[in-house]
Amino acid sequence: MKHAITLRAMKVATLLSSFVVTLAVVAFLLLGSLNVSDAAQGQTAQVAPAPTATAPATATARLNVTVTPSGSRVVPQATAVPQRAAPTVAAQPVQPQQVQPRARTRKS
Amino acid sequence: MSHLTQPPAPGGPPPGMGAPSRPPTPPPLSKPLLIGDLSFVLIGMTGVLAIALAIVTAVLIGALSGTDLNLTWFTTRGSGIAAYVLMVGVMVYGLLLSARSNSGELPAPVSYGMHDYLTWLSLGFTALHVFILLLDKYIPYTLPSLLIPLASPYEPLWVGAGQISLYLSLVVTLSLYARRRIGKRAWRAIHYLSFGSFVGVAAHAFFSGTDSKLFVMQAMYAGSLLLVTGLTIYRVIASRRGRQLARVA
Repeated sequence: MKHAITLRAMKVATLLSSFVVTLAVVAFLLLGSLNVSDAAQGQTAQVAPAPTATAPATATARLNVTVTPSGSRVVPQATAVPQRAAPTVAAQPVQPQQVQPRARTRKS
Repeated sequence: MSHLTQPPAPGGPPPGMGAPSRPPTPPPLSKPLLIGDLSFVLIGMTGVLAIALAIVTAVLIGALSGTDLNLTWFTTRGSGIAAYVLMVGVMVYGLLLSARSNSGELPAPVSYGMHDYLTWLSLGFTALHVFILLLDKYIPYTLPSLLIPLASPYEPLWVGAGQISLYLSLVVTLSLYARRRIGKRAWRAIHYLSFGSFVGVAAHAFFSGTDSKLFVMQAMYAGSLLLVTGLTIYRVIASRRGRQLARVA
């Protein structure tokens, strides 16, 4: 009887631990993917200018956002293009939807 | 109580007794909830509900944040790690049993019960690890690609090692129930397949698992391999010593 109680206790503990391990790994991976997503969105927000901003008369900021295959890096490239006959040119707002962080070549 | 110690006469009541009296039945033992049969049902249902809740939460978070949270892939990784740890437990208890190292802290009934229980629990988590991939949107798994070795679209060689190891584990597990038919020698020979199965599972976990880059996982794989190897050496030594003692006696 003593062994039976020990055995049952060990079985219950093992079953519980197995579920806890599974859920802990799932939670860890979920948090990791959410952090990656937040970081990508934060970098996109830094790159994007305010939609109502007015550019100087001589130049327009054109922003090209490049997404690497890993999906977690956003490389902004700002190039100044001179404008000759445009007194006031509104900056082109960059749409955050252009960034696709899900472009992955391998599961991470 | 003297009638309990006397052997009953065949076909009739014991001498001196008018009618056969039944021995007093012991009072029913009440099982505590934590270790009773109900505990397994409760914990199993809680675990399934927790995983279902995690899926719903991930879908909601994914819908709200606009990101694709591939929870089926996360679940298959989590259940795969749990199944691997459980299989290490199966190997440990099996080796301790076969080495007959039944100390007072770990008696044979406990070792045998845990060996049997962990085997089925490991197979259950392996089933979750395998069949949840049918819901995965990233890699288009089908039932044949899950069940046929080397037919996986992802890492076919190392996933195939896991598939073959699963079938070996099933053969070893089911051979226990055919032990009387096939004989002890054949059963023991089949049982040696579990070593190959364990090596295959470890290779599958390490080479196809995307978590293998993490130090924690590498330490777990190295520690489990060292543990099983050390216990195998201990079992061989104990077996040789037992044979020598038998020859002397």
